Amino acid sequence: MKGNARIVESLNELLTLELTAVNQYFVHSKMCENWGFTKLAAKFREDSMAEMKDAEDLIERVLLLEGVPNVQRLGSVVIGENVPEQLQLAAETERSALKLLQDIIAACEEEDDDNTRVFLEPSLREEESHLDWLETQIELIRQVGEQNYLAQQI
Amino acid sequence: MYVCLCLGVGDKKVREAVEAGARNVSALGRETGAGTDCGQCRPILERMIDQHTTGGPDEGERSDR
Repeated sequence: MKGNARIVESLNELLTLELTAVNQYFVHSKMCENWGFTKLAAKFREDSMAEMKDAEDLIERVLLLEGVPNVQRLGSVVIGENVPEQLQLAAETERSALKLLQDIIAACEEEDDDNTRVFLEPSLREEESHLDWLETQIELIRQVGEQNYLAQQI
Repeated sequence: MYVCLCLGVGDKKVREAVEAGARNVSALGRETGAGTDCGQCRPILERMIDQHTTGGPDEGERSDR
């Protein structure tokens, strides 16, 4: 089924962001594991896998719309050197994803592509919940202190 | 955060080098190694130099996507 070119290009843009996030969260997870913060490592790993699943769904959608999934592009993979930095950078990535998703959903409305809009809406909620979790962690660190927070992540 | 993943150079080290007088990407590369492998971080390095010289917002608060 031939899709709208503008929508296909936007989906590829989102695919780039998802693939970048997969790598970012995966490395964050492995760094946390290496430091002994096993709980955070598990959470980052789970998020990385969730972004990979999103990438899979996007690739399928682009193919269904007869586009070419662009897996060549990757954004800057921003890796934090410590846990608070990792959480901040992950929150930035989620904010970018949310903004892009909102823009694409608006474009879907303009181009009368209801199916792609419906396809994207669960991702919007998922990214929102990721961002909410990250903001909670950042706030926890602010309130209880970095050491107290990290002691709970072992 | 790591600015240059190829050489494992963090923003702190880059900022220190800029403060110590590195005013272009080549000089930063000589001082820290940053930007001398794949080169993908060179635009970020340029921005960090600009921010230092013009007193713009901190790289940690950027959104470059």
